[in-house]
Formats: sequence, structure tokens, C-alpha cells
Amino acid sequence: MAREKSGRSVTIPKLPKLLNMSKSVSGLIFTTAVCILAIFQILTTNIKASYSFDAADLDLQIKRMNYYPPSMARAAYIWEKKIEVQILKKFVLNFITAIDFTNYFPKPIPYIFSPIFLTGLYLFFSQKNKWKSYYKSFLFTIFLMSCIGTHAKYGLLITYPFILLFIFIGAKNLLKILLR
Amino acid sequence: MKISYILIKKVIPVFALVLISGFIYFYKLGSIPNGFYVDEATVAFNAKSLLETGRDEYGYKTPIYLRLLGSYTPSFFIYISALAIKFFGYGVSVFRSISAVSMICAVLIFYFLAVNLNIFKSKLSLFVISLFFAISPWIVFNARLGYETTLAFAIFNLGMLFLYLAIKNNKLLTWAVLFLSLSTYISHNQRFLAPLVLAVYLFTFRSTVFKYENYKYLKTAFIVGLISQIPNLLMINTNAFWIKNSQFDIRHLINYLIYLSPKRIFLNTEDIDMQHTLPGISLFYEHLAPFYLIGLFILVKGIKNISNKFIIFYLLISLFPAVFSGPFFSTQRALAFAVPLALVIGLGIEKIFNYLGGKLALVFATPAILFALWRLYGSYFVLFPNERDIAWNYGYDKVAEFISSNPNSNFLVDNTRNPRNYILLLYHLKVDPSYYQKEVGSYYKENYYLASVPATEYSFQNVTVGPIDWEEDIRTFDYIIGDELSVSDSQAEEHGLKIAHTVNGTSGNIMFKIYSTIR
Repeated sequence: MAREKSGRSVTIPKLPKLLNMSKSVSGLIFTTAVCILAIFQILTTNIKASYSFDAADLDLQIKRMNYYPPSMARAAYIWEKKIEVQILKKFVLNFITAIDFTNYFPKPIPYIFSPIFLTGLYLFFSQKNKWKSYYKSFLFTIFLMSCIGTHAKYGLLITYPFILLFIFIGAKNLLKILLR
Repeated sequence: MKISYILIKKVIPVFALVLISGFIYFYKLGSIPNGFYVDEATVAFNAKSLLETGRDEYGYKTPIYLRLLGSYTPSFFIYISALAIKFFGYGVSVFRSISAVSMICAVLIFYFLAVNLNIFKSKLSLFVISLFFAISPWIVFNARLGYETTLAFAIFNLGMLFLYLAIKNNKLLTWAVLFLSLSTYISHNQRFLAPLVLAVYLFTFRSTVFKYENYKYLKTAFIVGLISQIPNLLMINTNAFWIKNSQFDIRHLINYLIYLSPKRIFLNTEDIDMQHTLPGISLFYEHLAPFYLIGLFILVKGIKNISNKFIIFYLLISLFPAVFSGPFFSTQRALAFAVPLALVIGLGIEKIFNYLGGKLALVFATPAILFALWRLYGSYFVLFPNERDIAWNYGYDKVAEFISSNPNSNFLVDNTRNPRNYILLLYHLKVDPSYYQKEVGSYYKENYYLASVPATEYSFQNVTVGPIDWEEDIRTFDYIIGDELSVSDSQAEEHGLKIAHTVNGTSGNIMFKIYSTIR
């Protein structure tokens, strides 16, 4: 129950039943859903494409390596050509792509929802204990996407539950403020 | 004891910052960037013209906004450049040195702003983030430019520092207004930013600024602002004053998301202007991305804190010219954003350093800084001269050399893909400005602030710059100079053109072909 300035009480609409469940149960359901989606995501992602280098990439690597002065040849080889470092660079690329919130605008989230989404994202992290099980799933999702990349047949389905969760948290909070 | 404490805690970090940034900003300044960009050349030639004749290239006496290549740039930097020519000469590095010195000042201003914001409890994180700011690709790139953006950035930052200090000490508001006002005479960006900053600042911090005892300071600041803006106000009725306004569009508000995107900041700027980009690196180092996200979170969490409130205000306002000027990412228009962005990253670094503890933080910071320096070396000092030579107008000095060695021949220089390249030849051929002013004709001088369309053809000495007219030009000129696309092999064969000389780029690619028309 919230109270208006005049003193009249206002009832906040009841949340869907699932969200009123005990936190551990809803968290477990959410984690299971994320795990199933993770398997689906792995199966439908072209992981090879994320870590392969076409002829232009290879040509650029050699070209860049040769621009360094001879005294830097070894370091240049390691940084510009060595396969392990190139894979690490791809991992960093995948990671930054995964954490880039603009990837989700305007599809699947229209721009109009961006304030709600970002509010939800902020609240999700500031109320870390409240969303503990969801939080771990989120970190797992980011790590998974950094590993497998974003060349997915059906898009980044694994992120959709989180997008919905952030919008839900944001909307719930804004609703609370509006009805206060 | 006290002196050694001050030395270790205060003087050494500042000295180290100046030394490191000074070395990076001045190292091979004349040869990297390895071309001389048109914006640099136009500043150089007009500064020389003002120094020697008191008029710009169009023959207009002491302009407030310089027409240059049609941009009507506020003139302060060009007058400073004229002074620099008087004392240090007309070399490429002279103009870039102004930016290098400005950026060293900007680094110090950043450091003092961070100190006064009091958001970094640990001295190590304060130093580390100041160093990351100083050596970030975005800052290094701008520290080595020969045009106005960097000086404007430094003066604007000084204004912002005083603006923050004025929250606690209202007397300083006058200084803030003075520096912000000065920045409007240096760059277009600041012309839009400065008044907006003041308006939003007065609204955001109204409870601390608008107090009865502060009114006398507000009055002084207002008078100083008004008087210092008289030259700008005199220009308000000219087309030149409104030259950049047509691009503003409220629908671009959504661009804030694009500019705050970690991908654009740490991976790939996606700036469509190749001249503004560095190979394989973005605005800040990619290993700072997690700190940015942590910092953003801490910033929003502490929004009630006056320092955080100021950073958010700085962050949002600094992006204004970039966000509202178009759908494309522009690193140059967003430059003022570098300061709040670095502060946000700093908040993230501070959080992690606090978690790690002093010694472990140092162990963590050292390889992170060394890695950043390696990335900077590779991208800026090795790849950049090889991969951005075309974007930086490399090779015009060699074309000018060829022209100078043939003083009795007539040259046509094709400008189809670079319509502003005449200014590069004016600079490299060291054309006498008083001679060129007579060549320009009176139209641009009489209609100086009308913002009329630039000419397409330019003539001076034995050179004409313009598109190739295949019917006339092969009979008129002894040599035709163009890039690889200017003259096709079949055209050369059809018109009996022979290659007299080629100018190669740093990686061996052909930049210019000089054709002889003499049969």
C-alpha cells in the first residue's frame, strides 16, 4: 500500500503470480530457462565464424606486422600475427559486443523503452542481493557470449530473458514512483 | 618531512604527468601524422597571411571568424599561430606544438579537477586515471593536430574546472565565465557548448549559486560574460555566425546512447572521417571497458553527491554538439566528453583498486599502463603513418617540390576527390600571401561573411588547381597532376600523356602521378 499526499491510500496493482513466488523458486525457474536457452544458443551459433580469419584478415595481419621496425619484430609478430593473441582479441571483441547495451536498440527493444531498460539495468546491479540468482545467470550469459560470439542463427536469444527482466524491474520501479 | 611529503604526494605525480605526456605529444611531431592535413594548412597559410599583411588569404582585414575553407572558424587559434610563426617559423611542427602544449595543460587541468572533485580517495587511482587520460589514443591524437580543437578543449576544461570550484566559492564564477567565453573564440564546438554549459549549470546548481550573498559575484560574471561576447554578438546577423546550425535536429537525442556505447569508445569509433581515426584502436584502451561500466554504475548510484552530479552534468553537456549535429559518430565534436569519460573510468578503477588494496593495485596497474603504451606505440607511431597517409594528405610536399623544380612549366592539379587541396600547395610552395590575395579577386572579400559557396578552381604562380577539362587542358598545361583515379590508362594513352614522375605513399602505394602533356 502506498499513500497519496492527501492521505488517501492507493493500491499498487498485484504482480503476476510467478513473480510473487518465493525468490529461490522463481530464481531456479529463471536459471533453468537460461540454461536451456544457453544450450540452444550454443547449438545455433556459428562459433567457428567468430574465431576464423578470412584472406583479408590474414593479409592485414602480415602487412601490419611488417610495418614495425626490425627491433620490434618479435613483439610485432606476437601482437599482430600469433594465433593465440588473435583469438584473445576476438574474445575481447565478443565481450565488448556482449556488454554493449546499444546492441539491443532499436531491435529487439524500441528506443522508447530505453529509459525503462536502463533504469532496470541499474536497479538490477544496485539490488544485487535481491537478484542474486539472476545476477549469476547474467554474468554466465555475458561470459558465454564472449566465448561463442554473436554469429547466431536466431539472434541473441539468451539475452531476451534479461531484457524482459530489466524492463520489468524498471517499469515496476517507475510505476511505484508514479503511484506514490 | 613536510617538504618530502609534498614532493612525493603532490609534485612528483604532476611532474611525471607533464614529462610522460610531453614526451608522447612531442615525439616526432613534425613527421607523425606524416602528411599535413588541409585544416592545418589553411590555419598555417592564413596565420602567415595575417602576420605579414594583417589580412587573411581573401584579403579581409583582421576577421573575427576566418572564412578559411568555408568553415568560418573563430579566429583565436589562427592569431596565436601567427605569433608562433613570428617566433618559431613556418614548419609543420610549429602549429602542432600549440596543440601539444595545450594538451599538456589539459592533462594538468584534468588532474586538478579530479583532485578537487575528491572522488578518488587513493592517490594511486588518481595518478593512474590521469595517466590513462594523458596517454589515451583520443587525447594523444588531438595533442598532435595543427588546428584549433585542442586549444579550445584546454581552455574549455579550464572554464569547467573553475565552474566546479565556483559551486563552493562563487567568486570563481567570473573566471569560469571568462575562460568559457574565451573558448567560443577558438572553435565552433565551444561556441555552442559554452552558453549551454552556463545555462544548464545555473539551473542544476541553482540552490548553491543563487544565494543573496552571491549576487555581486553573479553580477560581475554576467558583465564579464557580456563584454567578452561583444565580438560574437557583432557577428550575430551574418551567415557566418549560423554556419553550423542547419545540422541541429532534436531527433538525434537518441545519439546519446551511441556515444555512451562501450563498443564505440573501446572497440571501433565508426567515425566516417578516416582522418580522425587510428588503426586498430578506438578512443580509449579496450582493457578499460569493464572499469567504464563499473564507473557508470557508481556515478549513478552517488547521484546525490555534488561531485557525481557535476560529472553527470559535464558528461551530458559535453556530448551535446556531437549528439545534435548528425547521425554520424564524430570524435572531434565529442572531444569535450573525454574528460567526464575518463573520470567515469577512474571511478571504476578506484573501486577495483580499493578492493585489491595498495600493493596489489600497483601490481595490477603497472602492466595495464605498459600494455596501453604498447598499444599506443603500435597504433599511433607504427600503423597510423602507414595506413592513414592518404587521409592526411601525404605527398603534397613532394608534388610541390616537383613544381618548384620546374618553374617555367604550367601545372594543372586535379582536385576532384580533394576539392580543398589548393591550400596544401599554397603552404608547401610557400606562396607569398600578399601575391595570393590579389589572385583571389574581390568577390569573397566584399561578401566575406555571406558564406558563399567556395570556388572550384584556383590559380597562383604556374599552378592551376581544378578538375580536368580534357578538351582544353592538355593543350594549356605542360603537366597534369592527379591521384591514381584522376587519369585512367586509356585516357593517358588516348591523349598521349606520359608519366613524368610518381609520388609514393609510405607503404609504397602510388599517391600521385605527374603526367607530361608535351608530345
